[in-house]
Amino acid sequence: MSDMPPNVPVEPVRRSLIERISIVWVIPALALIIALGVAWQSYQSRGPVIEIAFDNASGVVANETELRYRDVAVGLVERVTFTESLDKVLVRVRLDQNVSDYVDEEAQFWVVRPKISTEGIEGLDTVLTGVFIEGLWDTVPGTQIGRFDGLSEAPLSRDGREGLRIRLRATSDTGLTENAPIVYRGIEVGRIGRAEVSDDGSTVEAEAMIFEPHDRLVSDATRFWDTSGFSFSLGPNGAEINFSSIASLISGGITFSTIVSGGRPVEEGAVFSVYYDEGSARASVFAAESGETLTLSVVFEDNVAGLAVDSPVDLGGVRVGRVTSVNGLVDEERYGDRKVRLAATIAIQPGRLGLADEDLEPGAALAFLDRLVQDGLRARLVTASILTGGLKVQLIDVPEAEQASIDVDSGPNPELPTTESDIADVTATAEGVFERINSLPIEELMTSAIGTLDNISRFIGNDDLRQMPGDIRGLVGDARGLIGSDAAQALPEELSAAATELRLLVQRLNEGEAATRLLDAVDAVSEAGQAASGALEGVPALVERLEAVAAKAEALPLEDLVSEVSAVAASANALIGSEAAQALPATANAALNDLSESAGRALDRLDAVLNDVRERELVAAAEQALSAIGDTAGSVTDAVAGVPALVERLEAVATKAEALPLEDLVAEVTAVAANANAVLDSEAARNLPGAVISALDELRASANDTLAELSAVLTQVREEELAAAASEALNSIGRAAEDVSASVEGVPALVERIDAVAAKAQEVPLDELAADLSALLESADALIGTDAARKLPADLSAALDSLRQVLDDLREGGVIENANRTFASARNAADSIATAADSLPSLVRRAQSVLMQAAETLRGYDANRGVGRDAAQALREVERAAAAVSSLARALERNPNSLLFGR
Amino acid sequence: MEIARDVTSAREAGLIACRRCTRVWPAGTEHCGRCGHAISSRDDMALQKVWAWWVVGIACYVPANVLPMLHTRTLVMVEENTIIGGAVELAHHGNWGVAIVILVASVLIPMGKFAVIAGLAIGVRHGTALSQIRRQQLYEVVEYIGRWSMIDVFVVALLSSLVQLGALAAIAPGPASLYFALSVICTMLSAQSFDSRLIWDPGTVVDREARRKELLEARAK
Repeated sequence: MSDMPPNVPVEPVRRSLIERISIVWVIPALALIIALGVAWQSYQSRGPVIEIAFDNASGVVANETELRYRDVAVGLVERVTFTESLDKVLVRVRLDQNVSDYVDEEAQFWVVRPKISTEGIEGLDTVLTGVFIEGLWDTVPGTQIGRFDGLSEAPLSRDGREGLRIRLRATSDTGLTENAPIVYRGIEVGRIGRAEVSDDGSTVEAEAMIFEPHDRLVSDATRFWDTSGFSFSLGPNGAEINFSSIASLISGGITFSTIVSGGRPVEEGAVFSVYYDEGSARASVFAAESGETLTLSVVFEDNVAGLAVDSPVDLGGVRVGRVTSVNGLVDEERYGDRKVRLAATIAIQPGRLGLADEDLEPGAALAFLDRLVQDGLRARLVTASILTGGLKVQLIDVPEAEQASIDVDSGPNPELPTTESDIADVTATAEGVFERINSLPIEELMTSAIGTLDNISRFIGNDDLRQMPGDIRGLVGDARGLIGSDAAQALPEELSAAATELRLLVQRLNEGEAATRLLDAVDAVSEAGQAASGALEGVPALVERLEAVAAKAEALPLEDLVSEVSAVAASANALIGSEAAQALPATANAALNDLSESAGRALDRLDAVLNDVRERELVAAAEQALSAIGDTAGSVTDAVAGVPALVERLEAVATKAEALPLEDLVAEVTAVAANANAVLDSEAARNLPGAVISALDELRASANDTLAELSAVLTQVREEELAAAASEALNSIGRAAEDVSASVEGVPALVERIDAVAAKAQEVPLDELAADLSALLESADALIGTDAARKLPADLSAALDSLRQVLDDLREGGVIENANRTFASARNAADSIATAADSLPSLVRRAQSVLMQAAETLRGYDANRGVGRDAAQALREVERAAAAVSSLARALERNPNSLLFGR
Repeated sequence: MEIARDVTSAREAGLIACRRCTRVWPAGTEHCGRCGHAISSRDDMALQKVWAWWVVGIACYVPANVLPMLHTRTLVMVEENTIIGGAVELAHHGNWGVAIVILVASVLIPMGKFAVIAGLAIGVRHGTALSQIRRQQLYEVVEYIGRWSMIDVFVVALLSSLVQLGALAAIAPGPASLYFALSVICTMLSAQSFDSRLIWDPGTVVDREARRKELLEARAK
């Protein structure tokens, strides 16, 4: 280390400023600039300081407590000091720049602290974070002031909600709870602020706010009432319990309603009354509650319990006031006795009377009431509630009341006249009702009802009744079978045939009058007999046919028939063998004896009459008549000429009859006979002879009387100039016979017609007829086989009893007089017969035309036309009727009760 | 180890050392022949750099202590603690050990560093009573311990990333953590900027007695 390096000279060199300063100084410079920039910026963004004076700033800490607007921090408390006079706490708050423009004189500040109330828990977050100051201002920048007065309570619209601010005024004990909700139809639409006693101490007032948009619900017709809690009242109006919700039960609350339409919008800060309940709120609409009341006295004759202070005073249905006091009143001088009367003082609100505003003062109302009293208005006590027995005062119009007026001078108050009270004593009425119920004959009623029910059950349980539907059904079935049978359908033909026969019969009867003188007519008849012998040549053939028929009949199961008939005969024998039946001939004999005696007398009379007739010149007339009859017989001979053809026709008919199914018929007849046998065997049938005997007895008695009367009549006839009339009648008959002979000339044609009829008859479906007959017999069999038919004899004997009674009645009644009159009528009838004989020829002609018509009818008979169609329709109607009856029967069978219950 | 009182410096020996690879070169060499680093016998700007970083570091240290270091939010409360406030609170709860550790690591050491660096820098310019060896030891201690100051920031970062329990609890770094980190960094840079060779230059050790006499003489004049 010997060669040390030369010492390095250190020569300070004067260098420039840039060379002497390190670049590193940029860093502090930069830091300084940044710091300054940040400081300046924060200073720039720093808002103004405002001072808020609070009564109480508990929990407010400088540099910690925030100022919040809508729960967002917009400032910080910088200092907490006192005002100059130490009466308030002054809080200095540094506002954020961005809201400072809006914090104008309208701004409100309050301290938010945790609060637990019936409305819930508020400000829970402040428990942890500490209290904060809430500010509220509008959204319009305004003039800035540095000093504010803080609110001790949160304002109503703490959330910045807009709405209508009103003042609520409550009287008495209606609760205006601070912060209680205002509910409209169950929805909270507003809030009540802090309540305070009004200046005069009579009411409680609170600010309230109805939030948008519900503020439009409030108009000057709106009424508020208290809904808090629940109320139970047992008053004149009955028991009432009323509460709206549990929430309002705890916290209280009011609600409102616009009672009438057409209210005007209200100004901010309008004052509303809060009523005790909805009823009074509604009642207040038409009434000025605040108006002065009219005080009246009322003295009632009845001194009864139930009227109390605050009882309503009603005019009609409107409550117009209330009772303010109730006292007794003794006024011997005025009423003349020492009775204690009920004197009530009533306060009437003129507004409730519906008077106009200018009449609301009591004087005008008194004058108005006085006019009403002069027209009959009276006060009376009425029952307000039958439950409580409470009374109320009712002002009522009493028609025809004595003239009266309000006694203005009486006592302390004007006195309203009264009338009789209308007090319902509910206990007495109820007792009367119970007594009446008690005295009802309930036991007897029950006994009767039980008996009735027993009878009904016996009636329903009766076997006969149970069988009745079955019987009815059988009956209806039988009727249907009968109606539906071919026999019924063949009825029109039979009817027309019967009509023809009827007309023939009539004609023959007419001829029969001539037979009284047969001797004279025998000649003509012999001629007719000759003609008949000619005609009888065809008879052997007919006989053969009949023999065949007989053979067939022989082949029939006649044994059965005979056995049945013999059984019938046996029954009949037994019947006849009965004592009554044996007595019957005796009775009949006696009756006949009587009749013969009577008839003998009558014949004697008749003989005498005829003698009289003979004596008169009747014979000549008769001879004339008989000659005419002889002529007639001649004509008949001619007419008989057509008989052989007729016989042939009959032969054909017989042939046809031969072909008939007589076996079936016989079987049916056998069955019928069997049934008839059963019928005859019945006891009733055995009783029948007795009934017949008694009936015959009656009849005999009646006949005796009648015949006696007849004989008397005949006597009378003889005495009178009847013979003359008879001769005239015989003359008429003679003329009639002439006419007949004239008419008989048309008989051949008639025979031809009959021939044609026979031909038609030949064509008539006898087979069907036989079948119909068979069906008819079946029906008849079924009919006889029914119980009803078996009961027939009994009915018959009952009918005979009835007949006997009738005969008794007849005998007792004026039969004789009636018979007299009858015979007088018979005389007149004889005259009529004479005149009728005149018209006989025309009658014959008519008969001829009828026969032609009949022939036409038979020829043209067609089931589809004319009568056939009508008959078919009629039968269908009958069938439908039968069907209806059948369905009725079925319905009855299914538901027999319907007979009883009508359904 | 006893170090001799009279130490010949490299400069006095006409040598120059590379500060990166510590190779010694003859005076006048511009660049290290081994690592290529520019070399000079003394860094003329060293004290300026020291002071510049020092100022920034101490400026950052103020908000680091004023502003909250931790932002702790639990279910029921939100808490913001400064460094000292947190330590005091811990001490209130009886955690003296932890409180002392925090105070030492976050307050005592940074403050000591500031003081040591400032003292070294002043001593180089105006002389100091401390011997050169003591100052060299101080400088080494400062440089060594500087990096550990970041442990605060490290703890905050660790807590912030671990305690994120949703609504129950959450820890977030406060603004002070940033300033604290900046302060530590600037302090480290300041210490590093200090050219420890200046300690050994003559004239930096002041004899206090002689100095006082000088001053008295000057006053007497």
